[in-house]
Amino acid sequence: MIKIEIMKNYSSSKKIILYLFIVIGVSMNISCNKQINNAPISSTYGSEFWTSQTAVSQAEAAMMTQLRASLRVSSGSGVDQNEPCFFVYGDLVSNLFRYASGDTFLQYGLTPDGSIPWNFSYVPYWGNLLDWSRFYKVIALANLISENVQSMDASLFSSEKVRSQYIARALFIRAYTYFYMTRVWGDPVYVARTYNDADYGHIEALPRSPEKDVLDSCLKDLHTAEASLDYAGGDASESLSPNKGSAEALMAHIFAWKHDYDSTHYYCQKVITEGGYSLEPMATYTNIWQGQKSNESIFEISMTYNDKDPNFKGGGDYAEANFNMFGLFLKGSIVSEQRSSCWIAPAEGLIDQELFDTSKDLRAKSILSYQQASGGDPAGYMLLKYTNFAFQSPDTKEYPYINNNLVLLRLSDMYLLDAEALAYKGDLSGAAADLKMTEDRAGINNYASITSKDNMIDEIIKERGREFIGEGEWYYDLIRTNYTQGWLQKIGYPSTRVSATNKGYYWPIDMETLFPYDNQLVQNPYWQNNAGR
Amino acid sequence: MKTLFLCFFSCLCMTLAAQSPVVINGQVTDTAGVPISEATIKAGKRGTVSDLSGRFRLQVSSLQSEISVSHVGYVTLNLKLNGQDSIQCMMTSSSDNDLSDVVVIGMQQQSIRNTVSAVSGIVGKDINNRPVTSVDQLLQGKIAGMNVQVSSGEPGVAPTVVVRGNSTVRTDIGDDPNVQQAQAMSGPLYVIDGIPIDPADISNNAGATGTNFLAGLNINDIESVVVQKDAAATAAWGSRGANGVIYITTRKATSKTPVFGVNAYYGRNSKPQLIPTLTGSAERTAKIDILKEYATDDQLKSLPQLLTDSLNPSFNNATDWQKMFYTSSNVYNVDATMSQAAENVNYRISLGYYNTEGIIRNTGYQRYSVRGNFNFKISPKLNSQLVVGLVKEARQAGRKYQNSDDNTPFSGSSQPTSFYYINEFDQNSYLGESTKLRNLNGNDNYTASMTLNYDIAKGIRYTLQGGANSYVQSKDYFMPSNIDAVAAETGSDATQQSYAESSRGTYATYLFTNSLNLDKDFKTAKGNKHQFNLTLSQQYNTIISSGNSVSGYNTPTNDIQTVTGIPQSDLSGYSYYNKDALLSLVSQLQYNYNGKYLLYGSYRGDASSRFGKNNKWGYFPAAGAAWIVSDENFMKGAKGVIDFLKFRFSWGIAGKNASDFYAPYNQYQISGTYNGTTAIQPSYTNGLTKSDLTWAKSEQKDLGFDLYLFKNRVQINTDFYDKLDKNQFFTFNLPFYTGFESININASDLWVDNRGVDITINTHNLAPSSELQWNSQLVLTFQKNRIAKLPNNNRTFVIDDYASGVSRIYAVGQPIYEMYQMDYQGVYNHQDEIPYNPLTGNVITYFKGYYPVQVGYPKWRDANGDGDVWTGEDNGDQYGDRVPTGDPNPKFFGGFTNDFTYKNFTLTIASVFTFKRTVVNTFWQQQMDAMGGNLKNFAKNRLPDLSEVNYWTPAKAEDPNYKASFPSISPYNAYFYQFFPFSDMFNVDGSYFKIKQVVLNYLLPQKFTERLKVNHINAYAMMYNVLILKNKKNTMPDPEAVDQLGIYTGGLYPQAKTFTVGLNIEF
Repeated sequence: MIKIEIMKNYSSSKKIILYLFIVIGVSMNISCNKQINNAPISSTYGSEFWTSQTAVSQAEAAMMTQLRASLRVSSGSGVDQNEPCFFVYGDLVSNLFRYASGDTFLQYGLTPDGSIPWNFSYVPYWGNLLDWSRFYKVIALANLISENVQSMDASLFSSEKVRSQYIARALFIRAYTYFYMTRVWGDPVYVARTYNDADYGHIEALPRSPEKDVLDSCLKDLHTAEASLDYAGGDASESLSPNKGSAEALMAHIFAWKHDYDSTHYYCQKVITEGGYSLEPMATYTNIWQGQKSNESIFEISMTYNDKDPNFKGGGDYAEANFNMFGLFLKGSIVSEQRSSCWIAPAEGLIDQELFDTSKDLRAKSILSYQQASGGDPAGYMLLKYTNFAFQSPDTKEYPYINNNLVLLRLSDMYLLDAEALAYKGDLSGAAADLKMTEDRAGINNYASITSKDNMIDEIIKERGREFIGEGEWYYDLIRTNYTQGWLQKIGYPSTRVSATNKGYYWPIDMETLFPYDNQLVQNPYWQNNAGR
Repeated sequence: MKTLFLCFFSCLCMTLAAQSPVVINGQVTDTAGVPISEATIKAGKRGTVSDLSGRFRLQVSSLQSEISVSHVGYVTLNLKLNGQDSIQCMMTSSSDNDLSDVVVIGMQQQSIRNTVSAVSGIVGKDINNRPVTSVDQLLQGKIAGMNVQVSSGEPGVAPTVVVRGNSTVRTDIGDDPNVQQAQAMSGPLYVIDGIPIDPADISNNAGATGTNFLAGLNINDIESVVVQKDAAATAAWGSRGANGVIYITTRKATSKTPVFGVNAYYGRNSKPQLIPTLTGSAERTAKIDILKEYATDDQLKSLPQLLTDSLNPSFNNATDWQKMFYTSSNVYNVDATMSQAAENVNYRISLGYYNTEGIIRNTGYQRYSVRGNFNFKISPKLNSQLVVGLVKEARQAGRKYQNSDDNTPFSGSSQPTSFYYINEFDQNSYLGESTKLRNLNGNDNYTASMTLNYDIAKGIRYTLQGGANSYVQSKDYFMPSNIDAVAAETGSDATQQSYAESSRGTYATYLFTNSLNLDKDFKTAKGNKHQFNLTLSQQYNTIISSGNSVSGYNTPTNDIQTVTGIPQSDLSGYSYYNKDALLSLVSQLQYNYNGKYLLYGSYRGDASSRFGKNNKWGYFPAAGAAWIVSDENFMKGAKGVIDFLKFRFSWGIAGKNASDFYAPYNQYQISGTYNGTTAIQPSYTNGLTKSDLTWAKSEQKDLGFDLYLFKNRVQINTDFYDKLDKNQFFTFNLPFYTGFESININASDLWVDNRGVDITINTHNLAPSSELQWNSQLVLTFQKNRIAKLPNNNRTFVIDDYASGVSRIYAVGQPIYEMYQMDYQGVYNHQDEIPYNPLTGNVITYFKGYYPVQVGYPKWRDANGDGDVWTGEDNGDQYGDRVPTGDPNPKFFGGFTNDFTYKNFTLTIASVFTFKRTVVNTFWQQQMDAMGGNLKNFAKNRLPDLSEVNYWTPAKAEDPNYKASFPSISPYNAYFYQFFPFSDMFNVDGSYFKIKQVVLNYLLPQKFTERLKVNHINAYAMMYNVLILKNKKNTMPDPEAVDQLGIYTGGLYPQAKTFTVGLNIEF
């Protein structure tokens, strides 16, 4: 029909039709110049994203999520119980705990008879213990936030102060991350820029920066951050977000690592006196790890269950709450028989021979539970700091998780760091006064009888072991004080390995994975000569 | 389009013809008596074309002249008039390209005679009625330079198609099984009736159903398929031509009178050949015999109950597990066509129904198709064409969620012993039958294109083309909560949740083209002729891919198989919308001097929205020249021996578009929540802006010749080519300190080189006068693929593919996906063969010193000479003792086809072959591994067929001259992963020669059809996948059933052997 119509009117309308088509065709081509700049609407992208304060909060949440994931990541594939690196670095290699018997891979890190020293490098299947890449993701997000927030229009923020606090928190996280990496691996590669729109095939290789320089950069960041942030003022719910107290606490820690005891003491005192924190009473001691419950907590990582969490059921690194992070310390009925084997601090070992007077120390009663040998584990003590076990579906006993937070900085830490600084400075009574704060709470008073500086520092190390057991901390305390106290040798590491030049207390870095993309990278001194078995 | 061109051409000839007194009449038909329209008839300089009833009139200089009759798809006829003024020309069909055929290159039509490009093609009749789902499978062995591997016989799943060598370098192989299936190789661009479609882009963006896009095109609607290979052809397609272009033309009407045709066939897909398996007491005896070879007396006393308790009804069965899954099935096809080529309107409408049931239960594919081709001649100057296609497809994919080799619940490593008892419940649940599995994959394809041609003046034509193709996919999936009974049994995943999904997506392509064609020739005073053909064109192409999906776990009961009543926390859904645009300017110029010296040049610019703001435009030049030597005077004497000889040379650059619609944008994504606040961040793999992202380019040189000998009875087409792909898209792993994992962008220093030779030889083996006609075609391709340059100063790297266990090395000079394994050199038969570690003085060890080598162990070469053989990992030497061990791409391949015609019978035997490729039999490997070093596993797993395996045993080794062909298989041996494919112990030669099709066609005699008052009846019978010949050592039933990277898992869908019979009637 159409054809006939056209045929009939051909003489009159042919040109009109034809020109119409030409016009349509040509205009199509002109308008599509715009079209070749199509932008996505199903996902957001850089230039679209950084245009509101809400977006900055979302990016900040992403940074925290990545930090949590980086701290919580499991040691690697093949590790049966998903032991997170956090506790392997901080607790396991300090010989306080024995890995769970079900874990056939972790034992490869030990000498054939199952004892210390840990051979950090014999971990062929645990890339995560050696590969620091994940922490650079945190750093990249921190850099991204500080760069973008600085260049965003001031009117996008509710106030200039709010804007500077976003930057301050990003700087805090960057400093925390570099400090963490330094304690695990020694000299990191220091990066304080973003790499958007670079020549990706030819990014310049970077060498490792000396530990000292990195720590100085961290301190500089923290100075900047401290100026913009406020104290939490006794509000426990503020412990999730970096604030002035957390910045100063971290500075105290970094100064202590540098053995700058005057500054350590100064910042510890600032936190203690101005921060608004208070020690948790013994009766409610475990509130510290309940999540935003205790006024003792300075900075903690959220790991409690959240019903908005899209990742919870799937698990994985980005879920808010999971079972594995804290589950490694628990077995039996306390976790509804989820596991028959767990990390145990073996009896007749460091835990009860060196650290705890289990009959007297109230903490031993509160957070340690004696277990008979079972499930292949030796007899010893199970840690009860993280015990808020629950099922998401209680009826079907599906989706188990442990509802505790990971506390990274707390007031006791400040008292004991202050004690350490004072002891090194020779102020034994000041140190004893600090020790008193935590020891009295625990119902012991070892500080009272100490008269020598050396004994005082040893007592502080032991008290830190008692106070921070299972908080991924004590091994670093041993490294920090090893130059005078030699605790690493005491627990079984050869003195040549942990000497100040060999630095065999640091983990080796995963050269196989990292070196191909950074040929300036060098292995830690001890592991250069002692790679493999 | 072609019609018009030919009309135009013939008019030209007419006007050129001098006035001559003799006019002859004739008719052109095929051997079946069906008129052939548009055949070119030439006598000297004059020529014409046949009309729709095949008739023609032609002026000749005398009745003793010779005329030639040619048409696409038929052997050119040379006839002497011998005084007759009326002549009947019967043409026999051929599969080769005829010189008068016209191909569409870019925006321009070129005759095969005058093109400088390397093109090959096939015609519809050679692929009609083949009982497969898609045309790409039928190109196997037909086109020189094109490697088609049908790795999966699953109905509706795409084969791998690579034109002139792979240039894609994927480093994420093994991460995702779909990478192997769809993206490991560089697939070509398809142009269907002028609309470009990139199936790889569809599978990237709208591939939820996994159905091959080309399956939607009814094979019986296809008139011709032309594969354009060199840069002179592909550069004109600019944007996406770098991987070759396949131009498909659908059928048009040919008869002046209305024709109604019905064509139907029915066939059976037969059950595949199963791997020989010992069952029941035969298995028990064999296993105990093996144990006796290795075990001590004590060990023999404590055998697993499974082996000893032959009276236990749970363990005394003879179940052949393979048998459960495979079945024979039906294939049906019915087509109806109506067509007429009238004066002003030419139409062809076809309706098709195709249904093939799979040879694995619960699989199959159905297609309903309607296609219409219309030509309207509105005035002498204005005409238009309309093509409309509607297709509905449905595919059942069994138990698989995605395309994979997971066709049965048992992989090589989990084949159970035959001793187990299988009850009906278990059987049903393995088969997914009683479990309410629902896996419907539907696709609807709507296509329409309209072309308008207007002759502004003589030789000047304006063309407007508008086209749209909408590909709609839907996936409805339901996995009941108890499906994977196997997993439940092994305890690995006892609580299988039910899962329901409903996804819909549309991938729509829109195309607008304006073009102007100028066709001019000049004659100089001396009678020399210059002919120009210039085309200028503007194009706008946009793709919109959008869709949504909802899914959830834990439906209230298994009776609810849709996303209904699912708890909020188990529910997820998303929608997406992607749009791109491509803006192109094209110019093409053909020039010839006296029809002998041919020049061609094209220049094209493309801007794609998929590229970075600094580099959206890409420019693609090409040039070519050809010389028809046979037209030179000095060659006149050779006529009859050398009828046609053309040398061609071309050079050009073609491009490749990005696969991601929004590739230059740094993508932000939701990583989760932190204390309830939504977290948004850049993606670690695609989170950086790429303002410089631009076209990947492929530069190609081609030198070829076409030689027709002995009155065209031998036709040879040969091309030598060198294709260098530069600036390839590559996933860079970023340095850790950037905080990002990887990014996909052009690698200026990633070059891939493909060189090769394409040879096609067509012969008419018997004299034209013979009643029996025998035509042969040999297609042969030699190909060499290598990496020419790598990023980071040519740094070699290795990708460990944990899915298959076979690592790949990427090194300059090596082919892409070269395998990288330890070198297995046989067996240590006797103690004195075991070498010593020069440092320790002890015997060499395996696995980082753990396992001192013993007799019966595999002999792995200590490539780095450190006294221990292993893959490396943490010994500081990252590559250990691995060496390059094999290339999954064949060195040469092709096809050999023979047609026999005798009276009304035609017999076609088509075969394909692939030689010199390395494949890894991981099915056999996994079975050996599943039995190795563990007595319990040895008892509970299926005993592989060891009848041809001379495995090492202590008893045999007592003979000092004994040489085992396989290491000890003792389950009492230490287990150090010795049967892993990290050594090349399981690599075999994957060569094969297959007789793919045998087709017998019979045309009913005219006497008979006349009585029935029908025009034409033919009956046909075919066998498909007839015979496989392969290397003796190759124990796989089908050496082609390996994935794109050369891995045979045993789980890929076998290709069915099919027998069909059919009937074609035209009224």
